Amino acid sequence: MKKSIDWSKLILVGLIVAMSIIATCVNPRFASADNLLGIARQIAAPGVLAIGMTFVILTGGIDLSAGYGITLGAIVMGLLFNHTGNPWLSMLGAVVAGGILGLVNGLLVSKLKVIPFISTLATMSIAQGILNVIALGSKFFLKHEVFTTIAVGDVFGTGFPLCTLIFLIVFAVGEVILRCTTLGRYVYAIGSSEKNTKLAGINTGRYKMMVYIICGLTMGIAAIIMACRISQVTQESGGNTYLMDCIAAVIIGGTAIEGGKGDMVGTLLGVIFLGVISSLLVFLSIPTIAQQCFKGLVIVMALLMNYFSKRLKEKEDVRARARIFPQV
Amino acid sequence: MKRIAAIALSLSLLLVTLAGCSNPSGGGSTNTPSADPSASIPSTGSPEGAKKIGLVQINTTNSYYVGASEAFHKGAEDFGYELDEQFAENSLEEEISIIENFIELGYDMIIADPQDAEALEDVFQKGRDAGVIMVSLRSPMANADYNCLINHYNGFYGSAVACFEALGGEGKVLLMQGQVGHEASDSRTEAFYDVLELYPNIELLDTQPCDWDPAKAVNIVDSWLAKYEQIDAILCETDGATPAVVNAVENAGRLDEILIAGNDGEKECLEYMVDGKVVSEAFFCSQRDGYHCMAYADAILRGVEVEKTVYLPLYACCSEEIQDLITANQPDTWDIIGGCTPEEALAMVADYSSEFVGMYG
Repeated sequence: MKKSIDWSKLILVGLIVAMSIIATCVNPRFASADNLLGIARQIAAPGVLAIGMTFVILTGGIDLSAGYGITLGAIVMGLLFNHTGNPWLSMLGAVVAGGILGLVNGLLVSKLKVIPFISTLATMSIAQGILNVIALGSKFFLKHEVFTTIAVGDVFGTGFPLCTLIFLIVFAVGEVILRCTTLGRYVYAIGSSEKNTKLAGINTGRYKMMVYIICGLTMGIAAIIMACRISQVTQESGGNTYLMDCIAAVIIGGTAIEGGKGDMVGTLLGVIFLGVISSLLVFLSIPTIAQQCFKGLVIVMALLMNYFSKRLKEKEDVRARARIFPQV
Repeated sequence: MKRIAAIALSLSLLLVTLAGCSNPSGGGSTNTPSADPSASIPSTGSPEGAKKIGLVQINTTNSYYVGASEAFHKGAEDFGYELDEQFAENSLEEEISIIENFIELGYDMIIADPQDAEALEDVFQKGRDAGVIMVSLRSPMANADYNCLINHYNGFYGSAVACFEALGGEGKVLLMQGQVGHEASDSRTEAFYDVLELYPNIELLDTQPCDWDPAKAVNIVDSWLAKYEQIDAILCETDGATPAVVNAVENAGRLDEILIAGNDGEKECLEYMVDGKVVSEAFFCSQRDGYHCMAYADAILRGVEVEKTVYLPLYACCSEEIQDLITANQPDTWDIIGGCTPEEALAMVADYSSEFVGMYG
């Protein structure tokens, strides 16, 4: 059987190229190395979070605590750095904080069988409450060579941003897990049909827990990149803006909201797409307040694209079956 | 076994939620006056027969309100009042409920920072009818007994004039707004455009709102730095974003060519001014705001005759050289705002109370 064309990805690549051409025509500096590397830096933190969110959405779940999870990770990082002055310990703290939040989400969803929307909404509130207690409205400054290197450093003097490399490493690890491991196979299986997967003897609870922990760990890594870039953290850093961006990137990238379909490449394209839009709007001097409306519209368009892409694929499958079984 | 684990997990989550939402001082909503999380929360002095003041601020997540809170508590202790502080956590309904509770509790005075002046009119009237002195903080209310305000327009006016004088009256500038539709941000933007009219050789390249989010501010600045070959100044309407903007420009290696102006006069930005990274600030500072209001409240409660509306004294914080330029070229600026150097501002931050003791009699 001929492999069907992934129209949604092709359309996405086309849109990215088209928007870049438009922006370059308006202002040639859009295509400059400075701007492209700037976009690469901007997409690093939401991109890392989107990788984790892809796992969750592939299983048919959602993690609404992701935005405040980043804030929690960043505040823990700030607190630890404030007390110890050790950048590595503080970054480890951010990842651990994210991982613990992911673990709690995983336990709620897999063991207590709470639906992900409700459980992660609850953990989002818990994260906010914990922030109120530990942060006390304070601002933490992150002044250290290590943080500056992560924020603006490049890879071996090539000019390629280090934070973007971190994002690509997380992407590569996510892709390997999805494609080459049992966890990856079961993530798709659970998203396609959790009931049938369970009937096949798979411990779906365990794998669902793992995906939420992965998402939590990516919250911690995203928190590190975000905190290093802004070099300060407060309770207002991160939050639901990051949540909206990462869900948008995952959906735009072709991952089905009901689960079972999607991949990391799509998420990567979705992240790049949103990064290009953000930069484009500034280059066109469109206020960033329009961005939320624009992103919402883009999500709707992406859902429509997914729908039509699915219909096209179904038609192709029917034609292919008709060729193989002409009399049926 | 699984059931026991599930019950244990649910109970521990419930405990964590309660711990997160509880007020450590036992007074209802979170009461977090200290900027240093390791410092203990100061208790208000509560001598016998002390008058009681209820205070409502908007949230505990913004470091400005937390800084002001610290000063409110210090002021209550210094002046001998019992202060009950609550936070509305950005909820208008919650703010109305808190004020109604304060009225029921029979407080002598209620100070509230209204999220929406019109929506709070009824509850303010209810307080006045009950004989409670109602004070509106930071935003004016027509039916408040007293208004203790910040003139956001004047503050940013001074900062913008100082910045443009530092540019020699010409150059290309960018404006980072706080949040479109927010009263303070809109006032500052209005001031910016009025100042812009005074300098025909200053060109505005672009304005973008950062929604008080430093992460958004960094992304916007990154795009600006890529888009514009020549940028002479970036004016920020909030010091929530100013340090992030300074770092973004510095990391791009363009801090030598781009001046940065801020608003609020937070300590970190004043220190940046001493280092030469920020050229001007609208200096008011959250602690001065809180203590000033307490000094005003004290005068009212002692029966001193005071103006119905007062403003926190503001300063255009800039170097003496820039102050001289303002005197020479825009002397009218000093009619609406004072001037101070960053070192003087830092001294005022370190001792924010002395300035206001006895200010209102």
